[in-house]
Amino acid sequence: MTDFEGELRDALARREPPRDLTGRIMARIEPPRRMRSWRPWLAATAAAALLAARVSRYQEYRKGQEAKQQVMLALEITAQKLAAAQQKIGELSQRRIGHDH
Amino acid sequence: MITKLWVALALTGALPAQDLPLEFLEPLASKAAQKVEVTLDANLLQIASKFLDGKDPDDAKVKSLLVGLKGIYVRSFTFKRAGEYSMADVEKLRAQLKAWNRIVNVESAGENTGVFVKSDGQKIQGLVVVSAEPTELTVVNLVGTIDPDQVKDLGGRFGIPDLRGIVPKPGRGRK
Repeated sequence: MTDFEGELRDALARREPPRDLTGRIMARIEPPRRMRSWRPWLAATAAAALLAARVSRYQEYRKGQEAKQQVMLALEITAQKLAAAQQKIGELSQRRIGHDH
Repeated sequence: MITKLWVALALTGALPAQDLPLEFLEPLASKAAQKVEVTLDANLLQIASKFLDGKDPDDAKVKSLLVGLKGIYVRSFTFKRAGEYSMADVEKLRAQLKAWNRIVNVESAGENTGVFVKSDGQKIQGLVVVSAEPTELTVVNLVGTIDPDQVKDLGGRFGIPDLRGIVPKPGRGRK
């Protein structure tokens, strides 16, 4: 047997791993990161809050526009009735003046 | 007990600001072919005011008028036929206005229009218009301070006649 054959046999000889190998390997592996479950909830809450704020602003806008239209309608009706009363007073005054003459 | 309840409601702001209770006109709404009902309290008037463009001259005039107002209430009913509301309804309205100054009263051909104001001599503190025509009954109640000059300024936009000079001085006019 040559030296080479001897070296080869030594290199390929079955060797038992050290007893603490498994422990050492496991210790080196970083523990898996836990899924942080609050993140999707936070995103959903933020989206809901944004949506609620937009809906609220839109409702306020609608309410304001409706109130403005109601104000205009009310003033228009008031104006019509006051103008009609004034016109009738004018007509009656004219009739009275004509009657006096 | 009831008085206490009303006082409590008034303190909490739950009472309507209108000068003239109009609830008794509600049955007429179901008979009307057309109706306009406007109920704007101080809060809604404030909101409406925010949506008026202060840079627009007409809007600015309306806005300045709204500053003194605490409420606008309109009930206008149009009927298909004459006689669908009774003059007793109109009398009920007028009876509630006995303490007011009647500045206009026009009666002609079945039409009856009355304009009533509450006044401190300088400014109108409330305005009610009651217009009763054969097929139309309209009641307008503006609550709050109304400057006749401001109302006149609205003439261009709404054709509101000049109320200046017809605001009675304190102690004058029909009570």
